[in-house]
Amino acid sequence: MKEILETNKTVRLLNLIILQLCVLLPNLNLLSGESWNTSVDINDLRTPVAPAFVLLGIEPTSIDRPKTPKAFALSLLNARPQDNFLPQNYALEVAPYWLFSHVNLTFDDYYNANIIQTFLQTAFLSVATSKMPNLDTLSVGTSVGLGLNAMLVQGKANPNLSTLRNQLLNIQNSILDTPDEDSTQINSLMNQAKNIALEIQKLDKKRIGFRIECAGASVIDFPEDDFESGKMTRYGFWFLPAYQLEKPFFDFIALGRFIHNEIRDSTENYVDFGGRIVWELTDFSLSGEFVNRLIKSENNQNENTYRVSTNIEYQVNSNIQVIASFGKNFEIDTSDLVAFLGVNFGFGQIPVIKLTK
Amino acid sequence: MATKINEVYVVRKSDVILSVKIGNAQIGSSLVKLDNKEISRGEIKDLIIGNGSDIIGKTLSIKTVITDVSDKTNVLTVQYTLKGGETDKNYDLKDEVSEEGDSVIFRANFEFQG
Repeated sequence: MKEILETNKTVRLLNLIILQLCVLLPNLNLLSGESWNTSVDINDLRTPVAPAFVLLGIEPTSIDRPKTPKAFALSLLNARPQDNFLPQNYALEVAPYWLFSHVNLTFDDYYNANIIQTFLQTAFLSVATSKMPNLDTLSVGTSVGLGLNAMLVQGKANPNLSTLRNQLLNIQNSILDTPDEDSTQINSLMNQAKNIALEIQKLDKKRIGFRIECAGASVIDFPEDDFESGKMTRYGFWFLPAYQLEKPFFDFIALGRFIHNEIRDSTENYVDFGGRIVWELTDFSLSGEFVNRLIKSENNQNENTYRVSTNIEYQVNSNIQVIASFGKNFEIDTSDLVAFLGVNFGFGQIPVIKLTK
Repeated sequence: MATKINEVYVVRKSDVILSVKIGNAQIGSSLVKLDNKEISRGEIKDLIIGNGSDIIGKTLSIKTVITDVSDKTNVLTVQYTLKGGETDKNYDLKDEVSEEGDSVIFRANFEFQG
């Protein structure tokens, strides 16, 4: 009972904070669907972290990322219905496996997982809702996106991992030898342990060798917010086998992608095949990519087009990244020149110079 | 979520064996003492504490420090397993850190009885 009261208090407090933010920051409109980008961008040659968002064409500014079953339930309860239908601005990312504790999963088991275990450990579920696109102003409707991405093969541990692990174990042994009364020394050692732990976390994303990523998502549109008229209008699958060299740090990525897209009365299917090579140094990366796209429309007309580009990324510091791209985009776009120079401040990509043909 | 336990473990005439398992893909190290005398440290797997009849009345103390090295979860778990006594038993401790990379110290004391 006490726990329920505490939860209600927390919810009320969160609602109050959200209300205050809305009052203080009216121009940002953080929680409304209007602030979301509603253009579908399926050109990126990477497995989407949240395929439901990509297929829905949104970049939500507020995403629930529950890490416990209780937080997950609370997130669903807090998704406020709109006009007795689904909310139009809800976004959720959750790793189902990590909602629960795994007493028997050791560090070594995690790194030596088989295909099924790798899938479970890396599976990420994404759910989002938004206003239906392409509706006139008098119409209402909600789109619901549901996606899943995961790895089947995750690669081998980075060679630097064992060194960091030994360093961490040495610090932990020093903590064990320090008397409980010496809290200053314990805190100092725990801070050293923390720095190494964060490095270990980073290395988990820099595995070497062969890996396979896959993702899938679908979007169901509900015109007039009517469940009966719900229809799946978009779905897609991504498949990316890749190989990461240890030295030099080259990453070879192949891509297979299928997207089905129904826009009003017309239907298009995209079949993409391509590849990407990335050369990564400490703060700098250079990459080149090529994607061939076969577009199959409803009237059986096939179009073939391609995208080729080079990208340079420079990490100025932990928060600022400079990005430059140049190349040719798919010809179906109004402009097929890719020319982009931007700065990423860690909370979004802001182009400082954007050139189009 | 507890970080400390004090338990009684009933022994027989066979060897008592200790294992310490760090879960949730985290990294940890343990210090094992029998009546305040260090008998092992580091990763503990199938460690023979002694014959049941020899360790009656003694106390086994285990101190384990675990660091959150996973960005998937902030939950730290440790499972102490004792075998060779009246029954094999698992003792689970669990805690959650508020910040990535934080560490927690867990403690377990087992008094051996006949």
